[in-house]
Amino acid sequence: MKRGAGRRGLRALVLASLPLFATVPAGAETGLRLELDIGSLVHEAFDARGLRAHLSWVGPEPRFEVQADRLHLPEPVGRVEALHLRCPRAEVTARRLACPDARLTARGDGWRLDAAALDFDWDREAGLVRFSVPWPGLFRGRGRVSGLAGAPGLRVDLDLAGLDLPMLLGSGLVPLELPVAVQAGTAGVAGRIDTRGRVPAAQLDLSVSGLDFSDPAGLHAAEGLSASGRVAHGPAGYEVQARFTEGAAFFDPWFLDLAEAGPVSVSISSLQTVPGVADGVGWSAASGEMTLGGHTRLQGTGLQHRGDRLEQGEIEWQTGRLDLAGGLLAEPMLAGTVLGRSRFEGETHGRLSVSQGRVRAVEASWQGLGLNDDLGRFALRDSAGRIAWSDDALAPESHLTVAAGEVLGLPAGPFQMHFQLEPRGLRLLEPLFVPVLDGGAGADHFHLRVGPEGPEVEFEGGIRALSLERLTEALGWPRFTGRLAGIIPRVFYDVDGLRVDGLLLVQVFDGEIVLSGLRIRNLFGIAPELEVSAEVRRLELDLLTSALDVGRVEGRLSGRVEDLLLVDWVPQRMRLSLATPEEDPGRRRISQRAVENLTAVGGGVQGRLAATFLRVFDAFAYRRLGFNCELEGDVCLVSGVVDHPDGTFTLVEGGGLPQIEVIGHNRRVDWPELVRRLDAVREGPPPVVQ
Amino acid sequence: MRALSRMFAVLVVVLAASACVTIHIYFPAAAAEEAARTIVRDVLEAPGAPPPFEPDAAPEPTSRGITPLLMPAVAWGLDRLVAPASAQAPDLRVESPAINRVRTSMRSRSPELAPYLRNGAIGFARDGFVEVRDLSDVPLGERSRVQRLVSEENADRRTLYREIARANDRPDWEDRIRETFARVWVEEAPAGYWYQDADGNWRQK
Repeated sequence: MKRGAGRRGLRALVLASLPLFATVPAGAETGLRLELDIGSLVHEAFDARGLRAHLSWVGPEPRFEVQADRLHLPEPVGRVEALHLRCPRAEVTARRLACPDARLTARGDGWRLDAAALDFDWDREAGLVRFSVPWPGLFRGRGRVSGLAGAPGLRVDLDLAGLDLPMLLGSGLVPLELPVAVQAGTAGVAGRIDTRGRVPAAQLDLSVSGLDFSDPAGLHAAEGLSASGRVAHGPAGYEVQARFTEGAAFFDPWFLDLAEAGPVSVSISSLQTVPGVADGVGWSAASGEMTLGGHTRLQGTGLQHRGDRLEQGEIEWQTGRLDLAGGLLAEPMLAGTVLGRSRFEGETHGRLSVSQGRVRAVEASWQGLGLNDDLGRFALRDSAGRIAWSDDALAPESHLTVAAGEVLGLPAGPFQMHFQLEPRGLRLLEPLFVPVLDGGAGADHFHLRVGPEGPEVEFEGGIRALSLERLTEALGWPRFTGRLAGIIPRVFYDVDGLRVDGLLLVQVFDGEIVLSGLRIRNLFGIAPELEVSAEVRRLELDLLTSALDVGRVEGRLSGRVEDLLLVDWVPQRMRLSLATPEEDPGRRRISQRAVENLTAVGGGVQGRLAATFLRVFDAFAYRRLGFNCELEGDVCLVSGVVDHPDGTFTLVEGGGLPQIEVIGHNRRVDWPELVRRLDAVREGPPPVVQ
Repeated sequence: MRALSRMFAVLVVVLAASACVTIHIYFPAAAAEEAARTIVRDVLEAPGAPPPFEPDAAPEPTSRGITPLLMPAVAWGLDRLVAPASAQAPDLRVESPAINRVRTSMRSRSPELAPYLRNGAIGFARDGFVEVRDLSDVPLGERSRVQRLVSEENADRRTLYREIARANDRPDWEDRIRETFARVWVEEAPAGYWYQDADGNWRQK
């Protein structure tokens, strides 16, 4: 409403003629009847057309009526039609005109009054109109509106309940352009709106219940929401406090069922709309705070939001229940990433600075942090730490401790890490050692830099001797005894994954396996890949076959595995070449059971001895044995120590008497089938030769 | 007339001999489209997913620019001037353990996605991914799940496009592969599914 309207009086322009009818009725009573046909009346605050007034002073108190065909009032009321004000008992003095029981009929955009009660008092000298209206049932509400209108402006006191929100918002009386459509809900409002000051002020206690709303795409929606709060408007903007207690809401990508998550409280201070530069209108707030379920709190100061992003602000967070807040807030944001199937626990607090739409600095602390991957790829237990990062300077030192962890089934920890986060990288400040089983992996030097060409890694570290017995047990493999150790002088990271320079030494079965050319890709992805080459040096077959429980073979085994590619830990490609070494042959014997198992595993392999003859001997001497496999996909192209012109090949060449020779007939072997048969042999009872 | 054709032949040979010949290895568009169609059908036809829409017969490809009669002559000339070792068959490898894995993952997700693709909650975006279109008809409590499915599906699709490019030792083909898939997802989508046209507007098949 425009201020300063009343005191200057009705600077009205009477556009039409003013026919005046004053009659003195005939009869016992004498009095005055006055009819004014004003026509049109234009004023700063309103524009009335078809205006008529009727005054009748017959009894002790005058009565009057005012009618207007059309009336334009300031927004949000706007256009009013068929206005009819009846005052059956006016109180008139030189100074004031009052009507305690007036009735008002009118209709506007989305509302209608039908003889609504009205109590008003016009102090003509002061230029003030006091009014009080029992709420006429508009929008199904109830309550009372009272106020004071005068030259400086308008003061309205509201005490209303049960307002139907879809009807109210659809009426156009509320000057809000909401980005959502309200489908259901009732509201109550109590408080005061005052336009008399330099800046319009308002303080309203609001409550809503059963609120359903949605935007066109359903990305911001609520059902059955109940909330209460206070909105105040002053020179600094809006002060908002609200507490949401019932219902459910979806604010993409977050879903919150308040019955499960607990109440949500929001408070915003000095909220103002600000014109954006390029992205339209935004908003700013001196501060804001949200608490969730009494366990999680988000605070912001100096907030500026434009378009769909936070332009500026300091955000602080604090949660004592990461198990709840993680599922509600973090999980929807992490969907589709490595952490997308993780469960969290613990406490965390921290802050981040946003400037010019980008995160400029972060500080975070946590304790009792736990993380469990639903797919069993990794886990972290009881971690504590503090990290700091800044995008334009070296941040203070960061550190973390982990009580225990697990990577791909291998238990790890406890360990602690001291490091420094750089604007685009991470540098280890002290050597890091992660215990794994009875050994561990460590880094003496680690520096990661992310440049325009991709990440660069400087690394020096190694694997401290790890017991294979415990390693194989942890991984559920056949139990081997031995140790794994290695030196890793360098690590590279590129589009093809993590490449580990250096050698890893596996001391196993009284021999050695030297691993080199290790490359890891998508370790926690849908198909983890590992590439490695290995040199096998003089493994003791007796120990190997005992571990695999496939029958006894004595002798040594050497050879190479080149270009081994494991995808999801299943070999997909390799060139395997294993054979008994020529030098230092030692004792070479193969047990009857081993021969039979070799036959069972090989399928196309046949022993050249008659079965009956076999029964006589427990073991046979052999001169050499060997196995080569060129694996590509599921097909292994097999050869042995001797290839024969007819396409067969010798796997075991006998020595001495009785001479045994194991011949393979099928060069193309189905690798998965071979593995299945090996498992069957290991798990089944020892075969009996008939 | 004969003199004219002889002159033309000489011109072609001279032109071919004097030209600086550059061999480009072009993106095998047809092979990519065929591979994409196989994979897309495989995913969309997963148990529980609706039967695919039968597209109209594709028009016969026609050569453009050079008349068919001239082609053998140019090819004959170039064959003798350019070493054939550089020629490469337009083929695309779409088999690798990682590709197979991601296809399995997408196939197993397909029945979960299908109801939301059918009711228009999500649609095939023009960039080869899926996108939330209108969640209004999805119960409030399910909407986070739809967003999770969309995020996981898109992570798989990103992996699929990258791994196909990688399986062919051409990481730079990733965008072309994604564009090919974007078109094929829409072509193979059953009637009723929603997709984005070239301008980003949603349309229903």
